[in-house]
Amino acid sequence: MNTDKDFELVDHTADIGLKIYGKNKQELFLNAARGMFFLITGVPVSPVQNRPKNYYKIESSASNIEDLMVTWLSDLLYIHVTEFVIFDDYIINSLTEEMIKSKASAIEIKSSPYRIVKEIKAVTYHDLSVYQDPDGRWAANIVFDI
Amino acid sequence: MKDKWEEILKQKGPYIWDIPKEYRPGMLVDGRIYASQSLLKQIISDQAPGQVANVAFLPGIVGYSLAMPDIHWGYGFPIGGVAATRLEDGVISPGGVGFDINCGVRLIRSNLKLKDVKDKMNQLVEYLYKKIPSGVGSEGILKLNLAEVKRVLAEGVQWAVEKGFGEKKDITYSEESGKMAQANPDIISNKAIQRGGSQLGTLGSGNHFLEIQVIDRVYQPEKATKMGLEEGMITILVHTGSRGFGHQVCTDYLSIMQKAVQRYHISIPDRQLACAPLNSPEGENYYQAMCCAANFAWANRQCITHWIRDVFKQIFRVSQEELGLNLVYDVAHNIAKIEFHQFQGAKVKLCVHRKGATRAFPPQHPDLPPKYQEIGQPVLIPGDMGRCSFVLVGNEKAMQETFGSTCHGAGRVLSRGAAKREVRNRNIVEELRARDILVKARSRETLAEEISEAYKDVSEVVNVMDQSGISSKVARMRPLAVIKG
Repeated sequence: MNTDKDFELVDHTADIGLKIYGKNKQELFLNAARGMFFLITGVPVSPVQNRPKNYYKIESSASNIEDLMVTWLSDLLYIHVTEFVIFDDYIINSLTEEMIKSKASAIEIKSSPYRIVKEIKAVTYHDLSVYQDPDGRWAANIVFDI
Repeated sequence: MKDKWEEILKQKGPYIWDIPKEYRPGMLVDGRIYASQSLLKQIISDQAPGQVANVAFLPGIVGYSLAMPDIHWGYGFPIGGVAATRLEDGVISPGGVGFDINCGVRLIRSNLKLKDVKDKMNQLVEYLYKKIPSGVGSEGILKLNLAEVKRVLAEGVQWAVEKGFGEKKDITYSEESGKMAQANPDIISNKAIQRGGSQLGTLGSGNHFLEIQVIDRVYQPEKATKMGLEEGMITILVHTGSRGFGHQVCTDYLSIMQKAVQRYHISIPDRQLACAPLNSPEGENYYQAMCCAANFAWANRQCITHWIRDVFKQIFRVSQEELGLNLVYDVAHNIAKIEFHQFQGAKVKLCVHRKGATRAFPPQHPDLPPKYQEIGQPVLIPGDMGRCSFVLVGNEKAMQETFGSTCHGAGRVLSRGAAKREVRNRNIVEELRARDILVKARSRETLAEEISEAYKDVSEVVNVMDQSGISSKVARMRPLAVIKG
C-alpha cells in the first residue's frame, strides 16, 4: 500500500474518485475530509490562522463503516454548501464502525484564502470500499458526483 | 480481469449490440446498447457496458437494460441508461435518476437572425452573465420563505408563471407541463430545503450552460416550421437542473434505500443501484420527493428563461412579441416517470428510469401538446461547446424499442482530469474565439474540463438514433456564445 500519500485522485469518466489512506481509522476519516476539500478548493486545505472561525459538532451514524464514511462526508458537504464555509481542521473524539463524533472548524469562504473550483453534488456509494490492509493500514475508495 | 466485450456483445442490427443475460448470473433481462462501430469502440473502453449489465439485476425490469449511444461510465446506472420496471413487483432506484434530478434542456427560438445579433454579442453575453447567477455554489436573487419553496416544489413552472416569470404558453411547452402532480413537499427534508431554497434561478457549474446559437441546417423543414424554427434563426439553449435541492433529495433517499435493499431482500451488484419496491413506503416516498425536485428544476429553467427575455428586451429595445422568444420545448433527461407502454401485447404502466436519456414520444401521443401531435415530441440534444446541438423528434419506433426514449447529449469520453491534462498550455477561450464562438465562464477549470475533445461527436451519437428510426433530426444549431459556470 502507498504509505506516502494521504489521498490521491482517481480518474472516472463522468465523476471523480479519491483513494484515501490512513495509518488508522481516525486518520483515514480525517484524510477523506481533507481529500474532499482538496477537490472543492483545488489545493490542500490547512488550518487557517488569525481568521474568525465557526465550530461545528458533527455526529454521524450509519449501519457500517462504509456507510459511515459516506454519511460523514455528506454531513460536511451539506454544511459547506449551506453555510458557505470551508472546513480547515477536525478533531475526532470517538469513532466506531457505526458512529463518529467530531468537532470541526471552518472559515467563511469569502474571508478564507481559498476559492471554490468544484461543486461536489454528492458522495456516492459506487465502488465504495473502506478496508484495512494486512499491514494494519487503512484505505478507502470513494467516488464523488461532480 | 477485464471483460472482453468484443466477444460478449452480440450484434443484433446495424446499431444494436446485446449483452445476453447469461453473461452474468442474476441478470433478469438482456442488455442492449445502441451504437455505431466507432462509438462502440469508445463505449467498451470504460466500464459502462458492465453497468448496463448491472442495471439488468433490478427486480421487475422488463424488455432490456437499455443504453443510448452517448452512454458512458457513471455511478450505478451508466449515463445514457434506460430501464423500465413493472409497477406490481418492480423497483424504483434513485441511482437510475441521479443526483441532478430533472437535469434537462430547454430551447427558446427568436425572430432574430445572425446579422441582428452579430454586433451585440459581447453585450448580450455580459448582460446574461450578470443577470443569471452561475458558477459553483451560485445563489439566486430570489429569496423565498418556506411556504413559497413548498409551492415551487408542488407547482414547478406553473408557480414561476403565476409569479410573473414567464408566459402561460411556457407551461404548455414543458414536458409534463412543467409539473409532476405526485410531488409531495411535506416529505422533503429540511436539509433539502436549506440546500436548494436559495438556488432557484441559478445555472450552476460543470456541464451546465446557456448558449446563444444559430440554426445552420434544417433537415425536415415542415417539422421545423411547426416548431417555429428555420435556418439562420437565433436560438437559446439552457442546460441545468434542480441544483442543490435535487442533490440533497437523492442523497437523503440513497441512504434510505441502502436499508430498503436489506429489508426487501433485494440483490444488486452496485450499492449505488440501491432501490425499493415501487409499491413500498420507501419507493412511494422517493417518487414523490423526486417529483418535487423535478418541479424545482422546471421552475429553475423557467426563471432563467424569463431573465433571458429581459436581457434581450433591454438590449434590442423591443417587446417580447417582436423578439418572439418563445419556448420550443423543455425536456428532462434525468428522471423516472410512470408511463403507459405496450409490452408483450398489452398496455401496461411502467416506471421508466431515464438516466442521461430523453423522452422521445411519437406523433399522436396523448402527452404531447396539440401543436406537436402531428410531428412528435421535440427532443433537444446539446453537444459540446465547440461543435453543435440538435433538435430531433420522437418516432413510433421509440415506443416499440426504447420505452419512448433516446439519447441526451454527446456523452463524455475523457475524464475531467484527462481533459485538464489535454489543455495544458492552451488558451481555450482564444481557440473558440478563432472559430467565432464567444465563451464566458466563471472558472477556467470548468472550461478546461468541458473542451470539445472531452466529448464524443454529438453528430455521430444523433445519427445512430436517427438511422435506427428512434428519433429523427429536424435541425442543427451552431454555438455563437456560451456561458458556463
